[in-house]
Amino acid sequence: MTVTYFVAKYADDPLRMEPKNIGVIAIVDGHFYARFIGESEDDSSLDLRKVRGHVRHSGAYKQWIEYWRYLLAGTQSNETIVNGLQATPRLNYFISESSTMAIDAPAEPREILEYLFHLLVSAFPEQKNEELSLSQRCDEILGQYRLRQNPHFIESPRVPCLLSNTRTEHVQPSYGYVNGAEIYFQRVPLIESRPESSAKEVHNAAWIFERLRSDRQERQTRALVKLTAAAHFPNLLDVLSSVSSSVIDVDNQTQVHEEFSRFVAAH
Amino acid sequence: MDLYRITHFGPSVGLGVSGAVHLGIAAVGKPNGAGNPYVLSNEIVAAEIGRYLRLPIPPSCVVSGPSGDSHYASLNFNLTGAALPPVIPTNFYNEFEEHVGLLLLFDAYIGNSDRHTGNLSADYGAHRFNVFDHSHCLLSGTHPQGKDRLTSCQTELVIDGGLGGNRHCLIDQIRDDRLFRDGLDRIESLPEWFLGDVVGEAAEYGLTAEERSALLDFLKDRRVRMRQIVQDHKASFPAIAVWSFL
Repeated sequence: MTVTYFVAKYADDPLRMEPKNIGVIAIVDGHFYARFIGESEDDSSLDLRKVRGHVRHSGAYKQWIEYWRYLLAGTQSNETIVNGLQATPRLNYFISESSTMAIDAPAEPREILEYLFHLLVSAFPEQKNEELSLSQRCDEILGQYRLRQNPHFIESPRVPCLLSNTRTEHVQPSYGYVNGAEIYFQRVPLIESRPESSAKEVHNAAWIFERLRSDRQERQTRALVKLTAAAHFPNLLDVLSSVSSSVIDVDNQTQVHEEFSRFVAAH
Repeated sequence: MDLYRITHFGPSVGLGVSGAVHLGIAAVGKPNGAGNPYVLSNEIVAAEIGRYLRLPIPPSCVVSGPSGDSHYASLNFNLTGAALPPVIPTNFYNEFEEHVGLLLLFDAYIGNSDRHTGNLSADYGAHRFNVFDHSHCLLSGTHPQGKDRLTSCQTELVIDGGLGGNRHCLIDQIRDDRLFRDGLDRIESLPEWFLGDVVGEAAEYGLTAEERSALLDFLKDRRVRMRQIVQDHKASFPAIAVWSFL
């Protein structure tokens, strides 16, 4: 899908005109969505303490955000609203011309807005979110079931897969367990604020699993996810379910125990 | 007394004037245009009358541009260091209710057909607002222009969009006709000598003798008509449920 968006800008000195981005307004499915620096993700309440350092006068900033939100809440046509936004005199605060972006994965409007906000205004949240926490959780599981001491368990194995009679390709899933049967695991981080990245992770996992099973059908594949994050991507979860032997929620103790306890017993 | 932005401070004036310094004060200028040859005269008259009525209209003067053309210059009231947005009518009314009656009457008196949200500025933190841009009133703003416009304004409220242009951004907000009381008293008491002086000054910037005379007559006449005009246009103030004063 293609999303139209505008960037809200602030220039401390209108003569020097060195603006910085302070917010983003997106049109998704004909509706306006907006987020500005200092606003919370949940209810758009404005915390002016977060604005200090970005603008000189937080009172003026607050009034501008209120005004833009007032325009966005109007009942006029989208064209009229856009004209109103861009009629803002180009002094300290103004709205850019429209731009468009193609979004690969289907996503909720709020997810698209958050993605644009982090892409254009603030940095993406640090990796201490789902991506790192998935890795941390997997590390905990490896430790809990002493898988690193298990000679059959391998981290990041390079698995040769026959592409054709003459060509071999190596895929590298996150983990592998080979003891007669071959079971391969792939960590699939799904991050609410990064739908495109999440889709790529799913497609990467799908490709790895497809290669593994094309080469040997008896190979089993497992996707490791945090289901709380995956809930924001039902379509991606469906894809994972269709290409994996099973999808394991690393936060589900029952599922985790069912899967990994047998490796301990076998060893 | 309002505060305005300066561009430079100093040097000192010199001997005999203790403590005085030369100042550069920021202002916004606008000239007459081909589409509106009455900008300066409209702005001068409106600003002088507005300030007499004690509305927060920035002080102003006339300056010469690089090519010798006259510009109406209005002091820059941008104290916060950042331009403020157009007002949100309900927020403005809630904050400055006691001034809205006078503002509506002033705009009606000068036949202002362009009081949209961008022609008011409010700093809620400091409880200040400013009123500006009067190029579309009196002799222009809707067609016909010139003294014919004054004629078409005679019994019209104007701020209701009755002659065209923009409906006043606050006309739907006022809830109490008693807010008109003070403003009507002030307008009705505008001295004739004052109106004559103001129109005389404005006429230097592009008015014919006929236009000057028509403008003065209009302002003198409209002073005493304002009360009746408001009474005749009660329906234009939809938020006033009960009229007690008028």
